[in-house]
Amino acid sequence: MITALPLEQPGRWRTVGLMLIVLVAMSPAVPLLSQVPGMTPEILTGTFGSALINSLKIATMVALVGLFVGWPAGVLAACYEFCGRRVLLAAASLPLLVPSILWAIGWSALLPGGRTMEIPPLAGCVVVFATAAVPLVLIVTYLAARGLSGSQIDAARLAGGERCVVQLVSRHAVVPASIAAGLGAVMTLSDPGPAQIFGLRSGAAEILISFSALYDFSLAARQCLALTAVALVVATPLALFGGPRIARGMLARQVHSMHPLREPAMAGVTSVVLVVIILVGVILPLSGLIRPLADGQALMRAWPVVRRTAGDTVLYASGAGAFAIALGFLLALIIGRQERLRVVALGVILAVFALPPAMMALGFVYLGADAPAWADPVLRSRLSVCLVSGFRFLPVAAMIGMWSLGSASSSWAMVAGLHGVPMGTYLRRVLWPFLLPSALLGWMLIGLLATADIGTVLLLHPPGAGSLPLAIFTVMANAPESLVAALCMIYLAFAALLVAGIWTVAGRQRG
Amino acid sequence: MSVRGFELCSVTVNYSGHPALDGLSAVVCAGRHTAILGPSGCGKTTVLRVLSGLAVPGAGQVRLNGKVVSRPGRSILAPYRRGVAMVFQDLALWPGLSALDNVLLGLSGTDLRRGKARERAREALTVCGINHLADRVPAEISGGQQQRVALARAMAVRPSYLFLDEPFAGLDLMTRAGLLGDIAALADRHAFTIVLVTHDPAEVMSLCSDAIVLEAGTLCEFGQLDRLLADPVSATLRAFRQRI
Repeated sequence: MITALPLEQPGRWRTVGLMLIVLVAMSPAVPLLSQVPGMTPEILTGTFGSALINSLKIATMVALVGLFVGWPAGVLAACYEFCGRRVLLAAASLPLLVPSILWAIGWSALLPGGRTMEIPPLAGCVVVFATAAVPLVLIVTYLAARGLSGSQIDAARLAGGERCVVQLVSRHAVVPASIAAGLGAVMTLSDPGPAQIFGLRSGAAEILISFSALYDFSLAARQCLALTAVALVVATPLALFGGPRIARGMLARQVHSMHPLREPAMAGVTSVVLVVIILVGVILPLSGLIRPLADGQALMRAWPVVRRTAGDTVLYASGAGAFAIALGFLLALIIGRQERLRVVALGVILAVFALPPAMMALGFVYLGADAPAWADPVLRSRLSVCLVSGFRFLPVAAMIGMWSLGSASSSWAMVAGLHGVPMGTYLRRVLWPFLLPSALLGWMLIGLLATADIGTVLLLHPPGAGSLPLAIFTVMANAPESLVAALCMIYLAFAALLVAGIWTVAGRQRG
Repeated sequence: MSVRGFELCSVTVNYSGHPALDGLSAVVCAGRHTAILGPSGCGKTTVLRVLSGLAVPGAGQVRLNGKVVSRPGRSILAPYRRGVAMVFQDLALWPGLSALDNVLLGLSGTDLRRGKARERAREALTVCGINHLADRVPAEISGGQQQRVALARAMAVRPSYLFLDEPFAGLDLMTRAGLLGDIAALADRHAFTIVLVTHDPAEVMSLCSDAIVLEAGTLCEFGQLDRLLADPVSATLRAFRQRI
């Protein structure tokens, strides 16, 4: 009989398991490597080369804006008690979880008469991407700061008062904030949406054009590989630097978490900062989306599109979420409390997360093109979208799993081993009920992120089975402004409901 | 000649390259309650883990009643077949399960049928004085009551050895005294041997007749407690004697 004891013991099976899961997760991208021999340096000097430079410019500026706005805002939010903390933080995090094209459409619709071209393309892209990067850095800073114990804060307060507390929190959070800013920047490299809307040539947009407009798979594949190489160059230092830090941050601690300072003046400043972030990041683009809805008929006109795409949108979201959570939690279970494995795994998954999603999707397209008909249910169906999106967000699921498992007591499995509790019984009756809230949280979060990832759905969806964000992306150039705005608003309402759900589950779990 | 009980023969255990136990040889005789003493980080909990089979030695052997049960890198006799139950420092109560289910699940390794197991679990809860809390989950009961649930779970398997790893840490004096008395009475009634890891002389004096004193993973003193206290060699026992 296998008891629960191996879950808390080292073993070679852990390394093998980790390698297997990483291989499985990366397998869709492998077919693309067949295009490597056809790659020449010219790919980096032509149109695609200048598009890549644009992408890098955007990424750099987004990282800087994300860090210099999100970090101080996160420090303030963590240090000071202020009214409406949860509502403001939830509202600020909304741009993280919806497709960037929605915000781009909102910004462009701010100018009446569709005068999109009046916004400088580069600036437009930076503003839209920063809308997501700022809350990412803010939330990471906030969570990192909340990892400090109450006694550490009390000691700082005794040593030097409020100023010393703010310095301590700032120093503690600066590295996670920098990693988050870097990750936010890398993610912009693979998102084609805003560049398409503002009329800028970016690396990701060029890949989409090569595949969807020029129907040149091998060109798209080669461009995707070049973009992957650039993303890896940026992401590898992040992975090497961030892996060990995040691994340490995931260790379970038995400490009282910090209590925010009660300073009315600074509470006011914090609220104002968050309100400004929400105003610029959410309210302004939102008002751009609301303005065309004035005639009142747009929502009715949008209804058939929503009805046609709702089923597939929910299917892709829930399928990707379930698949990623199952694989991610399995990975977390395999890694266990082995420190070295955790560091390696985090480094690898950070690097994997930085890869363009188009890489895996194009790999699936390549496989599907030559595969026999019996492989259709996997390679050319709705399941393909769920699988590739699940692989894409496996790193997020694995991190949630590691975090959650880290807070379980190692003695649970030991006492189960000592009493001869079979592994299956232990997993079913003890561990799974404990992990369930985190799994539910991760499932919702990944569902939202997967829905926001238009590229994968665009490249893989079977005919007539697009998602709502894809429908918005497809019709935005030709449909009336009011219809596009109505579709965006419906999607945003759906996303806001899920964000509220996520914050509620997260709040209960913390409680 | 083989000993009735556990024998540690030149046992070495390393954690991340650091020795937690370094060539330790000692004996826990059946029927003689033994305290494992020493400063923090000297390897006391590791001794319990090695004896119970939760950890395997890097070198040396562990014997039970003369038979080798652990050898380097390998546990020959599974932990749940060694007749050992343990109350962990953090109690390790399974959080989503009621007190009764905690005890019932702890009986998974026995061959008892469902009805008999239920009967045994109820009996263990009654013996530990918490049958009325059977349906409560750990988060709904006090620290002392949680301690009793952990004790009931350990007792229900009718172990030959009960390992207690600082189980009374964080309890108030009254609860601690009550639990100590109850455990001593239970040990007499059910004839199991206690192996206690603690820093508290009062707990040692009220429960144990033998002691193993460790320093930095090596054996410092070992034998009958009263004899050791008469002429203590280690700083731990000297401090103990002053506090008694």
